Amino acid sequence: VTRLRQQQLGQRIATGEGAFLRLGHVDIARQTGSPQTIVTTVTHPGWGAPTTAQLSFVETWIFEGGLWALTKYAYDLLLRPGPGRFGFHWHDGRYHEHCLDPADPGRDHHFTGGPVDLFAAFDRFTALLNARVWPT
Amino acid sequence: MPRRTFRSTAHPASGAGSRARAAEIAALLQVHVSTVRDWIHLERLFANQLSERVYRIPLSSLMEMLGETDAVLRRGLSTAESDQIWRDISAEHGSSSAQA
Repeated sequence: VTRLRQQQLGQRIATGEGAFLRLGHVDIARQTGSPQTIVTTVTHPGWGAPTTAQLSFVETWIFEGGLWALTKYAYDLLLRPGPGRFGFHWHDGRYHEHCLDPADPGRDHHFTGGPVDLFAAFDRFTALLNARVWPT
Repeated sequence: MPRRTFRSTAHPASGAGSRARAAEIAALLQVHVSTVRDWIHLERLFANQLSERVYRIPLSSLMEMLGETDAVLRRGLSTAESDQIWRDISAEHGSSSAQA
């Protein structure tokens, strides 16, 4: 379970911004109070070039016992135009992955998963965008 | 329960236009390509290194180095929006087994 002090949560968001900017335009929508949902959307590559992917990072945090606790997340990479998706989810009490192969979009895209950190997910998405290797 | 494997393939997001070669950046800015590599090595310019001397530079990284900093839009999120987002995410699994 990820638990952070207020300052650490702010630092995490700022660090994410810096990293996400490497891939394109960043849009951050943030709820106030607790629970607090933070939605970060990255349009790749941005800067007026045709969009080839959209990354979405959704997290909800709850403030309890003086710390912010991460309670659910959904990290996704969506190819534009689709189909094509890779994602790590934790919600409704389950960890799972989404992997929609552009070459086989009809196949079930739900897979067993485990806990994944925001930045680890970002690294995987970046690698997928760079390495021309698609998990199937 | 399915397991994922990896295979090599090109996918749409790897197409031209999303990342530039060092030579392309050099031509654009009218500097020598070694200057661009220097920027990369000095971490002034972020790049993905594909091999020892092959780099791909995100456009956003170039714009960041050039001082364009308006790439982050911030706004508030209402409770209703947050609830709707999570309903939509959860709804994906309404009729399928997540196999998790």
